[in-house]
Amino acid sequence: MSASRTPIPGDDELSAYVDGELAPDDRAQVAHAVAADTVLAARVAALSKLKAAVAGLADERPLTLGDLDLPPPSVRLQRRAIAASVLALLLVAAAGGGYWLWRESAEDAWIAQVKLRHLSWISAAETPAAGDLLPVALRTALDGFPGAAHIPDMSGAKLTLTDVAVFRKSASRAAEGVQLRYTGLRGCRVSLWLSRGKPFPDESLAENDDGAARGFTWRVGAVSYALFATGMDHARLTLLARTVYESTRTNHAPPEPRQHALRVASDAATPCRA
Amino acid sequence: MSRASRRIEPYLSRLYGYALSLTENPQDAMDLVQECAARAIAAGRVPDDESAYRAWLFRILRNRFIDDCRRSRHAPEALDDPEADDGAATWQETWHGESALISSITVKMGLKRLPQIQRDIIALVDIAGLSYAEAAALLKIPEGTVMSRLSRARRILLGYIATDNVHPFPMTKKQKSP
Repeated sequence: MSASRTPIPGDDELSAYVDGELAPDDRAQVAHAVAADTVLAARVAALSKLKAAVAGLADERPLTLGDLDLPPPSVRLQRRAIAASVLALLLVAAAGGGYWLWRESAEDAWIAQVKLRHLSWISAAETPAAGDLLPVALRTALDGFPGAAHIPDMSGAKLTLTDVAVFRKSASRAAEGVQLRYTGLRGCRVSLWLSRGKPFPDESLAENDDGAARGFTWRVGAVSYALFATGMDHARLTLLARTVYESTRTNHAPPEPRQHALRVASDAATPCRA
Repeated sequence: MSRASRRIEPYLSRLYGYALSLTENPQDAMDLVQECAARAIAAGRVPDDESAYRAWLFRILRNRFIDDCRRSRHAPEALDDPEADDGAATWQETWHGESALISSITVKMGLKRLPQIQRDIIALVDIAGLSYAEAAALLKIPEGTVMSRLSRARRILLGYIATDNVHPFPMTKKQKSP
């Protein structure tokens, strides 16, 4: 087909041609025109090269989940939660139950944040360990948590405290949360989260399970605790949570019979599924 | 790793590339990706279809960027200015260069000079990998507008590349002067 019988495609058509966005008939027509005209062919070549160069910019910084320090639910979500809570408070206050609704919503946001931190940690390809710096890191992290002087020992459950992470809203502010990271020999990873100054959760031990991470929450005075694990045998996790719960309430290491029970439960449990 | 985490991971690099095109700042871009990822992982309802999921992710990131700008009272450059689709220069007026000038460096330099609305459409199609239909749905404009806006943005970008002072170094060795 000669160029004179083929309509000359415009810039929009050429651009769409490079993107593969033309209908089959239009695409064939543009292909004919390009094949018959070196100027059009040069335009298509330039557009193709431009598209490839722009697309290549995304490959300059390959990212994995391990590169991300996943933040707590966004400020927007928090604001929504607070706005919803405030609205609920106003609506239900007359009925006397407003406070509890707000508390429930804020507690849900807190638990979601804790789970995200835990999932972010376990999704990292490698788990960095604080090593010799761990005692110093712990002291620094727990500074400001005077009620949490006791660091739970999970060795009975064959879990070792390997790292600690501190989360702040900004560099200048005190820690809003501390994540103690325990690692087992068979792939288990357990996060013990400490927050302060929150009116939740209840002081009693409560279970939380959404399929992605299973855990328990409780509060001792002004310090809120959450313990989460992924893929851990339910009986073992329940016993571990109860032990840590009691340990944080009494500020004492678990008694030997309980340590023995943890060892038995760990031996009987299947390896954790990451 | 949870299913939600596994699903988002292949898109992280492209999300970062798109975030960088919006924020023009690596740290802000990383923050944006983190917030987007956190929200996507925690979301209750997620599109099953993969292309819908991809478009959903980029919508989250873009909306988050706009919200951040509003919250900080730092108005973003117009992302929906219909004026930007008018008065397109012709190819002949913009592209006198050669394809050899098109490199990652010259493209980055050129993108920085583009108005945000044009950088946005290029990034949505070429970095995010959205189809015209997906980009149109995200921007709430007709597909034809996506086509013309993108075409115009590319022409202008090529014009910048052709006239920019930054050029890639020649690959040939220097000859010693006699």
